[in-house]
Amino acid sequence: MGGGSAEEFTEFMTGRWHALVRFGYGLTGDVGLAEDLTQTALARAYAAWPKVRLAADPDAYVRRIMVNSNRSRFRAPRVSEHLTGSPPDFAIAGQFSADEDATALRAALLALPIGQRAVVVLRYWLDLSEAETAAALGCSVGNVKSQAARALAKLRVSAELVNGVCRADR
Amino acid sequence: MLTDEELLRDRLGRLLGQVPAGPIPVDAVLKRGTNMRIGHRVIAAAAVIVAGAAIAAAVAGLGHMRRHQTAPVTPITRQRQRFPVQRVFKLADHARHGVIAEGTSKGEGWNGTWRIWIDAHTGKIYDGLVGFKRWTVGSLSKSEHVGAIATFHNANIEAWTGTYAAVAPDVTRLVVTLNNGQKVTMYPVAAAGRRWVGLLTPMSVYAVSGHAYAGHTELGHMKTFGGLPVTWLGPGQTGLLVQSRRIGTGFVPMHSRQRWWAVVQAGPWGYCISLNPASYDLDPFYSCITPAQAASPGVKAVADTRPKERARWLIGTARPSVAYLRLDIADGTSIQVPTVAVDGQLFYALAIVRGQVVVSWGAYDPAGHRVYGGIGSPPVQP
Repeated sequence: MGGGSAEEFTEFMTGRWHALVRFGYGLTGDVGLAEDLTQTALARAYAAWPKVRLAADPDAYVRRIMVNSNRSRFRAPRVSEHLTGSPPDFAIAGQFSADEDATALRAALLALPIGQRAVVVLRYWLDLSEAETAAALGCSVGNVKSQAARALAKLRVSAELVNGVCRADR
Repeated sequence: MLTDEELLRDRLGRLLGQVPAGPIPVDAVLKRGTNMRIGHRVIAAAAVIVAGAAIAAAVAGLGHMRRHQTAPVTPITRQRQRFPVQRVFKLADHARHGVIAEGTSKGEGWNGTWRIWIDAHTGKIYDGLVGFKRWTVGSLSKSEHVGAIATFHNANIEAWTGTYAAVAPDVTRLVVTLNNGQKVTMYPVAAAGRRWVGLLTPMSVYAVSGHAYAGHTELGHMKTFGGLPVTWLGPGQTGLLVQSRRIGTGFVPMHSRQRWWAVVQAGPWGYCISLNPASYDLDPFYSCITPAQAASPGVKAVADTRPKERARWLIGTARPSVAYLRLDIADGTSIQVPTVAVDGQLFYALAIVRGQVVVSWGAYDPAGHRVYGGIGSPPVQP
């Protein structure tokens, strides 16, 4: 690939890296995994950059790869992800000092199925429309609507959240 | 009252806004993407070969790929290798599950993900194939960083060249150049109370130089020997090779028609030993020792290597009074080699044919008087 396209992609990547890592964190709840997903997706985008750069929404392309890669993470046989021998040092890898409310929300998100979690992050953090969310996930608008409704319903009664999503005392 | 959705937006914004922003791995992503693209071209070229058409186009595609491959194309999937993916963590984060280096391979015989990782519970450092096998390559107790920058340790196993190091607190990144021209940037990660870097590459790929930085300030650059960093020099300082001498050579009957040889290079780092077994399928042996390690009360062996049990090579050091060594073999023969001085330290190197049993050894002064000796071969003292 020529130097020009590398420069163009570098600018694309540096402008989006942090946001994509945060998106990945919303999907996985782990900073390390989020960075892995982001790296993988951006590498694939760069591999297909001549086509991706001409697409209407390259960001959607990258996000779709991240969502699919996250799904694949759970489909792969567990044994290939485990290290042999004694458990390694689990020094709260991938965490940071989030406040209590954020920690509770993270736990509640991770309790959602992967598809619903992705819809929640795309719709309510990235503020994508239902059509844009459907494009990012490669599914129908109807599917996005139903996933969002189910996710909100679960979050309302989530044991991890102090007062659920809706705070009646406000 | 805020609606569900508005409240969720607010809380998500606060949660995800707290996610730390680490360094952006531009180089790693570009390289990985380039390799993916090359892999796609290679598969396309293979399809053309199988179809038996457009041979010229296939050769052009192979020529582009050949820079990154060491073997013929057919069969494609078995020859394809990925160079290591550098996992970039935010500085001062803990290494995820203790993993400090990772590489993937789909080479012949070994498929999967290889890792170097630290287990704080056992105090050991492992190198291995995920989900299959591990090897102990070091320990926390022997992995302190010595000096200002980093002390590297060998983690070579099977088909991989591996190395890891504990680094000084002010090191923010190491940039290593590999023999294939690839540059790899390593950001230290925290595990078991220290900060580490690690590197896994296919066996034929190894580090030839490197620089360490604290922010934008260069702390130093490293000299390597046989792929292993052996010493750090200050910015702009050139390493001084004091002397390089061949310390032994010969033929091993029924092993090879070529002479094997062993060389010692002396410098500020101490002594670096290389042995070429003179056989296409045996790897060279490399080892570096400090002057203190080279010192001997009499005669000792610093390396006793038997690659694939073809033959046995002993390499060692001796005190100044020793002019030559003689090993007595059970079949009545003997092996006699002179000592060779390299920057004031005496070395020797000899080969023992497979099947030969060493009964005793002796070290002799220039007048032929035996000054040291013992049962079997000289003791190995690393």
